[in-house]
Amino acid sequence: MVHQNKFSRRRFLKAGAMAGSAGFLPLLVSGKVLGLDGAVSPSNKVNLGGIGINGRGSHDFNCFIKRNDIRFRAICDIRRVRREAVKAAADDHNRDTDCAMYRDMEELLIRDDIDAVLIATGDRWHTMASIIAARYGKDVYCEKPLSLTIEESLALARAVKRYGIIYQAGTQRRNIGNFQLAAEIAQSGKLGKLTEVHANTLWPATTQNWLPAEPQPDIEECDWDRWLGPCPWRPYNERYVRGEWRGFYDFHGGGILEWGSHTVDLCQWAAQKDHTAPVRYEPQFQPDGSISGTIFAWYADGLKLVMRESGWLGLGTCSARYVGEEGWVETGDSGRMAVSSDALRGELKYFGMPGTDPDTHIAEFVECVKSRRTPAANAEVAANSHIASHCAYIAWQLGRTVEYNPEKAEFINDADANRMRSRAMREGYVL
Amino acid sequence: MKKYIALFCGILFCAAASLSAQDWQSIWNSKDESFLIQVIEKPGNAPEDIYKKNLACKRLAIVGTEAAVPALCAMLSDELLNHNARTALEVIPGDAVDQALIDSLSALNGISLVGVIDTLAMRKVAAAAPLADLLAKTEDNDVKRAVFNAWGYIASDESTALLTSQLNKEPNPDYKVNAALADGLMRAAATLDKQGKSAQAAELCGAVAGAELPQFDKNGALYNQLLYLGADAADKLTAILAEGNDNDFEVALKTVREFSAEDAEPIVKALLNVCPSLPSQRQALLIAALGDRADDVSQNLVLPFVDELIRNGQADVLAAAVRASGRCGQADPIRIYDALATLYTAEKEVPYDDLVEAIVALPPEIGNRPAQSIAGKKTEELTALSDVQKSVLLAQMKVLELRRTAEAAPDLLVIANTEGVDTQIRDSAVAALSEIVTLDDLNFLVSALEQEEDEAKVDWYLRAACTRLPREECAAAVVKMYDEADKAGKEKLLSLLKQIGGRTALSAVVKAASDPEMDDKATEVLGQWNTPEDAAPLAAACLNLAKSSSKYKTRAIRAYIRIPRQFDLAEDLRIKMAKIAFDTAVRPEDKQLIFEIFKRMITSNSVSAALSYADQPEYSETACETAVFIAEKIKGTSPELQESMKKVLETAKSQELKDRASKVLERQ
Repeated sequence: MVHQNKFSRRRFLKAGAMAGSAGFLPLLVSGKVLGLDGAVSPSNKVNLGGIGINGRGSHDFNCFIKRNDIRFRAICDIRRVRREAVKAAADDHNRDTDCAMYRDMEELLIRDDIDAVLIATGDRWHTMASIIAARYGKDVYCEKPLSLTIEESLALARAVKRYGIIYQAGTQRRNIGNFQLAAEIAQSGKLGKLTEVHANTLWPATTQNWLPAEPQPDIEECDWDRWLGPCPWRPYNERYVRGEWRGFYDFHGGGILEWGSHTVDLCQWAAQKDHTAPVRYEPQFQPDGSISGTIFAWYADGLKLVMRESGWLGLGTCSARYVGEEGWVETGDSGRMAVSSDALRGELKYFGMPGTDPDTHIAEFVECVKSRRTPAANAEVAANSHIASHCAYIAWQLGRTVEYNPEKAEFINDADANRMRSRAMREGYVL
Repeated sequence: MKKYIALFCGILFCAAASLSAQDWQSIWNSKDESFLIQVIEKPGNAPEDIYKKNLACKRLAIVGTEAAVPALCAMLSDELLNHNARTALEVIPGDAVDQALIDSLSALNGISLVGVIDTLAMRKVAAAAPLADLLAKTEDNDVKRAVFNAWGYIASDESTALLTSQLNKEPNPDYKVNAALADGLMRAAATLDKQGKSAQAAELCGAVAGAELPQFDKNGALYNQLLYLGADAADKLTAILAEGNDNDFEVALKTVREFSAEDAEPIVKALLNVCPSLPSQRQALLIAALGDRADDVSQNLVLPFVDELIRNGQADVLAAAVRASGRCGQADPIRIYDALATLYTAEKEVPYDDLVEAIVALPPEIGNRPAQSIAGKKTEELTALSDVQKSVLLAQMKVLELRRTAEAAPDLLVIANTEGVDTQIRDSAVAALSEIVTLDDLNFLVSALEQEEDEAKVDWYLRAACTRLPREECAAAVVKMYDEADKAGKEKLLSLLKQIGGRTALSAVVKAASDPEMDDKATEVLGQWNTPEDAAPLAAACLNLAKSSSKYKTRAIRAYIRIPRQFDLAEDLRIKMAKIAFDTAVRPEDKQLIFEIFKRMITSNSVSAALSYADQPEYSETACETAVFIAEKIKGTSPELQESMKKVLETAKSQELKDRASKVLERQ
């Protein structure tokens, strides 16, 4: 029997307290309906290894292992405590004791029963670990930012191409509904001709300081030399290893890259500039002459990219705004969106998925590992958007405008800026 | 490493403070090359020496010239300083640097030698011959790997020939050396391709793919060989897809999506020719890959092929064919849609996502077909669906949702309210309704939700509708619902009003804040308001509450402070609001919050505003800390900033703060 109810609000209006249904997503249908009855044969599983899993990496790890088509087989970490923690979690999930532990990533990568790796080390290792993994033919999901320099970005893209692997940068917003819809609106022409794209970035500065020296632990407890990897040597301090390495120039690319690796990437995507980068970067100054955290940049066709810390609508972290001649759209990690008119409001959709959630991004990666399709946040597009952030930071450090030629990957008539495209690596580490 | 263990023994005797080097900025900001040379020439490799030399080398990397090269090269033989020297040597321009690096090779060994070879590679110095001499003499596998890598980077005719000659030699027992050789060759091939010498690049990769090397190197070589061959790869590619092992099949499959549009025609034709003879799993993967090709030539060839597969209903590859047709989007739409519709009764399984993708891609002229398909369904039919039928129906409703087909609303309501209907079907119907309803028929959605017991779903669907409906009118409709709701319902609707934002919604929440039954929730919502265009009335309402309400004074002042802290208002307005907040707040901990407003503005005005509270003993230290925090972020200096820092030096109690202020004062 079909209820033909008359219009009535009573049922809703008498709603009681909300029951906990946080995981509800109306778009999901069961695996069985999708042809996935939950049982995945071992041969159809992707065998995954992990390199440097902690913090954000633990979040990724949990998203990976809950999938039926993933089997987590090995962990590499320079810290014993982390190796053991990840092994315990993997073994608990797999209900066995098979997850292997390594201090040297190459011992993990040489295994031919590992298909792909999740890399979630500190930023200083992202490029190097990804290139090493590519050289062993492993597919890579790597947390952002993918690089610390322009040269690293290019080298990574070259290595991915050289070995024909699948690479997904951990810029998960490319697979999150509100960001996808905002990009779609920008690309559809509904905003008119795009004139500006705005990326939410952080204060750019880094420091050259060293933390005070502390006694260096036993290599099995913490392999400090490997922790440093390609970076300049400095004395051990536990705070670095615990995660307080951000803000140090040797280990970190600064605040533009910290969020720009996401938001500049979103802008490039929305503006259909994945294949290139802006050609001119201009740091902005306060009325009193001091430099601000805002950088203006322009693409070759005149489109303006604004990288700024403030002035956002409060739609969450990592916001992006696309401005056209006839309107604008802005969105952020809350999942909410704002537009310039009610007409555009009709285009919106409620997604309810925070921008920090990597589930759908990881799903795309796994699908690409199986189908060999190139994923959304592949090395080439991620390299270009990272290069835009690196160029902006170089302009900010120099305190003046720089001009960049994306085809030649060099600054135009600017020896100072060109020297800042790369950083020498420690002996034995090559891009 | 031993060198670092030895170094660590030195560190134990170093004062921590000396390592943080208060004067690092004097080196870091220096543009004086001779001063920087003096720093690196000073004897010593204790940690604090390394620290200073590290900074000086980083500066020389930017301002150094050939004049710095002798001093830098003198550091190369010291394992603790080699990297620092190369930091500068790697980027200082000039032939003299290249020659100095080549000259240094004979005097170095071990890791220091490896470092210099790496730097030659990064500089792409034409050092093929000196490196060949080195290779001939060395037994050090790390050096061998470095040489192969460097030759790959240099990629001159000479270095490529040297790399190729190594392929004919006995493989090294250390696979890493062989892998480095393969990597060098593939780098050289990439350079050749970039120079337009694709055939030579393919040949080089072919040699690697056929050599006795690790499989992962051979995979990379095969992959690039196929791409470098371009249109000429058709025969090799089809042979691999048809007869190759699973490893080679995977490698070849990846190239199918990646051939350039110019090379597409012969390759796609060859692949479509071989496709029917492949095992079904390979067929499906190949069809999916072909469907992803975006160029017109490929799509024009692929579409008739997948169209035929769909018409024949070949079960094994149907999903891939449907997906490919969806991706291409220009197939005969009626035929595809009808073919999909037959699945409904034919019990042929196609994944839901593929169904949706295929139907959504169909052109608008048949856009109402999914609506027609769901119209007039009977209870018996809706409650006895097979899995396949369910999948198709779900896909049809998803398409209606994605296309926002408004005329489907009545039929979706019927499905949602059918007693005994599957939960997924019902959810999908309501989800579609939430994306379809207009202000005029919001009642359809509310009616559908009558049966919903899960309030998370109720909340979701209402938010979905309110997200896209015209703001003020939608808020008015929700306010009307609010007036008729019970307390629990009102609480939910207040949250919904926050999500909608705008004047109408804000007015309703402000009104609720004076309702004794709803004031708790309403004041909470005011503190979370997130539409900056409402800043002025929101601020007025919060300030009024902070002054008039005894119960919610604290909550209201915090909501007020949040406005200049979070919204992008003019600087003078933010400073003015901070002062008002300070004067209105009662509790010291609330007054302290205004300093967070100043910290959001990196200007000398903000420094001055913060310091205006430095004379109040209870807030003096926080004011100084805020001023220094902001000043540190300001690049450069100004008389106002210097005055402010002097005031900090006079006022602050903390030595650490004074030190930080002094550093700002010293800044140029």
